[in-house]
Amino acid sequence: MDKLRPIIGRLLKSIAIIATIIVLNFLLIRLAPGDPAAAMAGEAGAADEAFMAQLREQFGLDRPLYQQLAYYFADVVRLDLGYSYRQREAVVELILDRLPATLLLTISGFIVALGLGVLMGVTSAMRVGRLTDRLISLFALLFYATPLFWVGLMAIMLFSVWLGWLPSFGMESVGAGYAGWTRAADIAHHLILPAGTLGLFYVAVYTRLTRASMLEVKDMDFVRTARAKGLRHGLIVRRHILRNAMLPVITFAGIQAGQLVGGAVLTETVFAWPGIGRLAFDALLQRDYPVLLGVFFVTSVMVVVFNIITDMAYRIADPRIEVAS
Amino acid sequence: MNSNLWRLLKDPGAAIGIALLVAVVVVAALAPVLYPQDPWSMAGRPFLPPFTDPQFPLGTDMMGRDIAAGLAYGARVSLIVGIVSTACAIVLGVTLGGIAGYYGGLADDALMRVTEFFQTIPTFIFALVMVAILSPSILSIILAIGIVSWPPVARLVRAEFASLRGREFVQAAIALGESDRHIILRQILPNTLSPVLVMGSLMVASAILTEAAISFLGLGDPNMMSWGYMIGASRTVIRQAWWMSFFPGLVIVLVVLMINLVGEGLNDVLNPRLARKGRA
Amino acid sequence: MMSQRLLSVENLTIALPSAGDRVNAVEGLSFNLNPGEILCIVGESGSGKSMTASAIMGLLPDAGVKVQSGRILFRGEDLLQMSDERFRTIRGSRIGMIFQEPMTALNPVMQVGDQIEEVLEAHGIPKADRPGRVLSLLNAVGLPEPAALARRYPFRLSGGQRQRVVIAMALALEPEILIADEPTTALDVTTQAQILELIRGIQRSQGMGVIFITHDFGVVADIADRVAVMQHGRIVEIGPAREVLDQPADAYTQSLIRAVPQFREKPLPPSPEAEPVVRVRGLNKTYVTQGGFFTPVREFKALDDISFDIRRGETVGLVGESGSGKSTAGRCLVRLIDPNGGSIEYKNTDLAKLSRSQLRPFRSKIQIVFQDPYASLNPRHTVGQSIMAGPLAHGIDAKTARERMNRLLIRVGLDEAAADRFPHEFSGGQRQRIGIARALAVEPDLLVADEAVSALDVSVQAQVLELLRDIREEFQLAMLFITHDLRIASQLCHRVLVLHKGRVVESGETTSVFRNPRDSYTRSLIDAVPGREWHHSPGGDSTTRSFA
Repeated sequence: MDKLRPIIGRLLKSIAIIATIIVLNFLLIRLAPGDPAAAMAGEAGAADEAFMAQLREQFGLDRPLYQQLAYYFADVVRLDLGYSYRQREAVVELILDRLPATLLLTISGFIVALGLGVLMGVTSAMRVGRLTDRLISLFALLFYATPLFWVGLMAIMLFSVWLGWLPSFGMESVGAGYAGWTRAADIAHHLILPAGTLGLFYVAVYTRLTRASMLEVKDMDFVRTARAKGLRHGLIVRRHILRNAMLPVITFAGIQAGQLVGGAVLTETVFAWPGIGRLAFDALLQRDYPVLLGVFFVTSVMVVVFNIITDMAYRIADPRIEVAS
Repeated sequence: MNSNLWRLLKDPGAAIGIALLVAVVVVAALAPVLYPQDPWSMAGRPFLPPFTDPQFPLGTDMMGRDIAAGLAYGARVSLIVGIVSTACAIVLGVTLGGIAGYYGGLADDALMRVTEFFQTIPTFIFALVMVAILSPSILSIILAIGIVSWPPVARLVRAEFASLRGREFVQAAIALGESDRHIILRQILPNTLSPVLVMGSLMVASAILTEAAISFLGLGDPNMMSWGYMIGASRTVIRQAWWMSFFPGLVIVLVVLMINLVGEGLNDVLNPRLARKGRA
Repeated sequence: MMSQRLLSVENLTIALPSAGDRVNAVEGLSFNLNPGEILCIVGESGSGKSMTASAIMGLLPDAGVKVQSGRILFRGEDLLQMSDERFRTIRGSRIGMIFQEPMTALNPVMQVGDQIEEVLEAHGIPKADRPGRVLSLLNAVGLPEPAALARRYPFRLSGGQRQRVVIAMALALEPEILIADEPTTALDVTTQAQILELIRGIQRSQGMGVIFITHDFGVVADIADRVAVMQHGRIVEIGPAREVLDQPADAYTQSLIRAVPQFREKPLPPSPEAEPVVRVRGLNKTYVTQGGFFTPVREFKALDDISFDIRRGETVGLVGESGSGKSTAGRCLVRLIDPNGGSIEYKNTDLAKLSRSQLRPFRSKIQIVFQDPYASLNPRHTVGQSIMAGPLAHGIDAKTARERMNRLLIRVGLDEAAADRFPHEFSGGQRQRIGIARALAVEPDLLVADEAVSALDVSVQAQVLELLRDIREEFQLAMLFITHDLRIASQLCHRVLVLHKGRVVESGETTSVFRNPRDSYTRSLIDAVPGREWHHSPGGDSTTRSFA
């Protein structure tokens, strides 16, 4: 029971966050200038007065606000995220359709960012002040300042247009009819540029964070104790410095998850990746609010789930957490 | 403070950064003088490559608009959005964070829940939704960026206030019977300003990146030329005209890089103990 | 003769980074360590004693500190010329080291058993033998239930237990030399006494040579065979412990030893006044940790029914170990902490019952001086601003406040020019004087001194104590003196209260409490005071000690 307590607490917190997002979504649609029904119809120019009246009744817009909220809440909980009058399809269908592509992209991007970032951060910290460190720091500084979508465009220029090595858009070759491993290889081939682009900015973030964390832990008392014990340098780095330096990195990974998903919208737009980010972009252009709010809701849930995972990872990595919480 | 400025200027990164940023500010301010013609109007032949016509050193876009003029006008949007949204976020963050940190209790709990919420949700998507719903304009963009940027400031200020409140010099001030207002404004606040200043400078940089991304997605102010819009609009013709997206992107990178350099220089000067280690 | 020497340091000079105000941390240092002896290196902060220890262990901090010249011979072999790999095999196996801060000396995310086992692993003990040896080591350093303890993480252990674990690691391979760098400074006296006994016991049974770094002459008196006194990076005096302690030849050593606080023999004359300035009755403070959805509410009684009076010109001591509640009591008195129950009566007003705004006019009457001279002054305010803030807050006009500040600055031993300078320009002792001036500026009737001299070097400590004593006489101040150091309490206080876990276990006239303690806890505290035998030995008898 004691072990379960923090987990249950964490879950309750997550549920509270998701509930808040539902309320926020509800309020946002009512912030839209003009008639909410018109907004939900996606400013469908074609919508006539009778259709609008039908919408108003359907959403209970004639009822008091708290009742509307209750209905909205009940709908979302039943996974009814509304209907896209532009695309003539239920929002949840639209999103679920695109979800796997987005998950593939964000998870790959995250792995690239974390893996490469930690590797470069550790290398940099171990050679602090030397040429390697300076080069890595310069690289991190540069990519920390670079707009992700521009990196994507420049990567397309370089690797697709000039060098012709990698495909510049889509998730798989259209009409190739690949199956099995060939298909997987084709998707992987398409994934390289988007995942690399999405990862690059966050590589910079994790590199800087890991380096700073390593340097801080390096000067701590217990590292001096480890040296006094006569341990080999490599062992001190691995067992004592790295293990402690990773703690803030894990925390930060959780915090960054939301940003990563936001980055996916841009990346998918640049590479015409068929995920929910691309869906959001189309919805933006058409002011298709139900889809937009649906995307906001689903991506938030994704981040909440990811946060629960990082939280578990932290609990495993840091034995002190049980007492602290 | 003067000696701090002097030390900042002795850091080569920060000095270059300040010089370049001053240049950008000057260009932005003088844009109507340098390029009297509307940046949206056709100035020359469409798709003119850079470095071919001295009148259009950076070329023209598919509508024959001068890229250089677009960059100059775009600087105004980036700087205004970056600075104003950060200023809003800092005022809000310092006020709420300060109250929560000093008084603790319920106000603190509430603030922590709110900042936790903002830390969890995908803030960029939230900002997009807000801009889309409020209809794109420079005001709605500033508002959206401001709303998603204040929580980290509040967290920082709260932590600083809470820790300084327990410090002995503040305890001494309480024991001496100084008023809360006096303690908050004269004892605690001045000691939190340097980390806030550093954070603020880095926030300007990230606000510029966010604005560029919003405009790139087509949600920029339709009446104002911005760097993000220029890249977004030329996305589809990248195969024919690389320069149309290359130069605006390069300018963004440079400006953001310079702001970050100044921010880090500021950090080294103001928080010497927290300074990045190992910098020879 | 050479073969007998375990370690000899010859002409060692360690350079500091160029930015500092001193060129060398250690200059031309030479001494020997013989097998089976405890050599204490004693000195004040900045004397270079810890740097010496780090240099022997090859653990100097990276940033610009390096050995300029000299040799450190271990069994005739120069450690400074040795390859890193060879030195590594010596570190932890033939020379062990323990550190000052047990709270941070262990890796927080690694079980303590594993951390001890690492030493064995690093020096080639076969895997099969390690677990058994870990357990016997934990046993040897007096830790209970070794098997369970080995699987705990450091945060579960108390400071004393952690220090025992560090000692177990240092002794794992029965080193020939143990270097102990202020290993008991961060611990309570009773724990300190146990750790000293442990080190001494192991040293005797294994015949190690020990280099023990300390600032405390009491500790020296308890364990040293020989002692070296350091000042500004040099050894000013070295010799057998008894000789140096009882007949120091060097003037600096003499001044240091003279400054060591002693137990007072005769009671102070009691205050002539009958009416107390403040009357505290039944003071209570209970901390309640907030429970979450599933976490139960926890209660912690920091203060349990504390009562005392303080008269004008009288000092009452509040003594106890960390966690005894003594600081909480002090802070309740100035209402930095709100007590849960009880009364604080001042001139017929119960301060404990007043709201924050009602309390404001009374704030000036009870003032506090804090422990940490670095945290107690606002780094962005000039000294003058800090001292004048109080009078100004109580409606005194700027001119009067300024005059008062100038007078006080001189009174506490600084000059008027100090007013325009910032705290970082002053030493710890000077800052403590500024803190005292700030408290006096609002003309209080009662001064709470919360470990006010504990962070200071012994010579500075003596001066600040002298100042407090003078001020008490001059202003006829009532004072509540909070300290963990019984010797200091005995110097200054008319009466003492001994606190243990939030309760007063004993109280009374200072000399009689310390000479004939009735409570067993008080007795254990007194027995744990380092250097007691030395203080009371005929050769070095207390207050009248003089060096002709």
